[in-house]
Amino acid sequence: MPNLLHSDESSDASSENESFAQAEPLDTEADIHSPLQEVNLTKDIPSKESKVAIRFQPIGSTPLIKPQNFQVSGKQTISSIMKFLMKRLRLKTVHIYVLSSFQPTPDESLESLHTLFKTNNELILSYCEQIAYG
Amino acid sequence: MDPLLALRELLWEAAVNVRIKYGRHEYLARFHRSAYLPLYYTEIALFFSVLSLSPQLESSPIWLQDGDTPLKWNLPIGVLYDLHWLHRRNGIEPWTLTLCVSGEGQYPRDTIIPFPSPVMGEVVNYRDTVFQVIINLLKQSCYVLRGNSRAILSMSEHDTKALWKAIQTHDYDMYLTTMRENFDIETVRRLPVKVFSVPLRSYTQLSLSPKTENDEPTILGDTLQEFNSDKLYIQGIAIDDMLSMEVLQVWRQFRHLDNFLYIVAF
Repeated sequence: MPNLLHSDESSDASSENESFAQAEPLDTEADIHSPLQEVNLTKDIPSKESKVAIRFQPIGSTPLIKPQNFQVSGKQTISSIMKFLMKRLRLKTVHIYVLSSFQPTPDESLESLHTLFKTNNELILSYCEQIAYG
Repeated sequence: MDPLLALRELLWEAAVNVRIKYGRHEYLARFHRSAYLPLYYTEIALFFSVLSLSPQLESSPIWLQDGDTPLKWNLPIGVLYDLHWLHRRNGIEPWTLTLCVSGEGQYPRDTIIPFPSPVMGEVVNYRDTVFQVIINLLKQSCYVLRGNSRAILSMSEHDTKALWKAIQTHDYDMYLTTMRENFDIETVRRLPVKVFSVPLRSYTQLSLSPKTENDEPTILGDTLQEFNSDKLYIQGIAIDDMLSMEVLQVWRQFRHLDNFLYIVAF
């Protein structure tokens, strides 16, 4: 399966070094942070906005992300989660699954997905570099 | 013929007029509302590539824009039409879109799903990505309907191919047969619905229960009050007369091929 969000093919070779150098911090678009690093990266969003709990689960040999639990703004989309994972884990591509069943489209909001598909108030997102479920 | 089936087939065949511009050239087309834009991309790219002697149109991914807005091709064409054009429609003027190509412009990968670039000398393969997206939408709606995605996950290879062929060739009988064999819609837990509000610029996914707490059928109008809109459309039709209908009935009749019911609010 072609990747829903893949880095530029032309810059693949250099992007690894680049992301290594950039490491963190994340850009504002990927406003995602763990409870341990409670820093609000976006300025124009009111502080009262609703956050949702998500838990990352690697599939197969995909690297683990630490911590696995995050509080994320519900307005964020799957697309920003994909970017965050690719950057953090230095992956070229990433596939995200909800409930180990389906890949949400990148424009789905975490709030919607959390409301519909949460388990014990957490949205469980499995991720892997190669396509996992047919 | 069963009136429900007749209506479903009518909706399947419904089409919209579109004009696509690239430079000084134009492509006029009639697209099925229930289809997806990239199913037509190869043909459109070939047309403009020959006309304007621009071979990169076939070898680099293309996308369509309404003004400055790239069109999210993971939505059925009819939903895109209602979102972008329904309220600007003027007489018989077709919906006018601009063709863009990676290379001349940067693919808007933050807002729309990208396609892989082909290896040197080959043309872009749009179909695999489209099919993956449709299958995942079906798995997602199946999860809402059933509480799991097994019906789609366990489809045989033969049926998966038949489903894909039905979508590509726009063959309603084949689509219906394949879905019927794998998916019984008589027993549903909850109904997958997507609501797009144009004034709020928002997109909400709902999972509606077909029955209320008192075991009465859920009525469509009661579920849409939070959107505070008096102009709601399903499949391009103003829903004023449907508001008192059971939501289960509306979903059965007006859902798209990914089994989601799409509602556009103005």
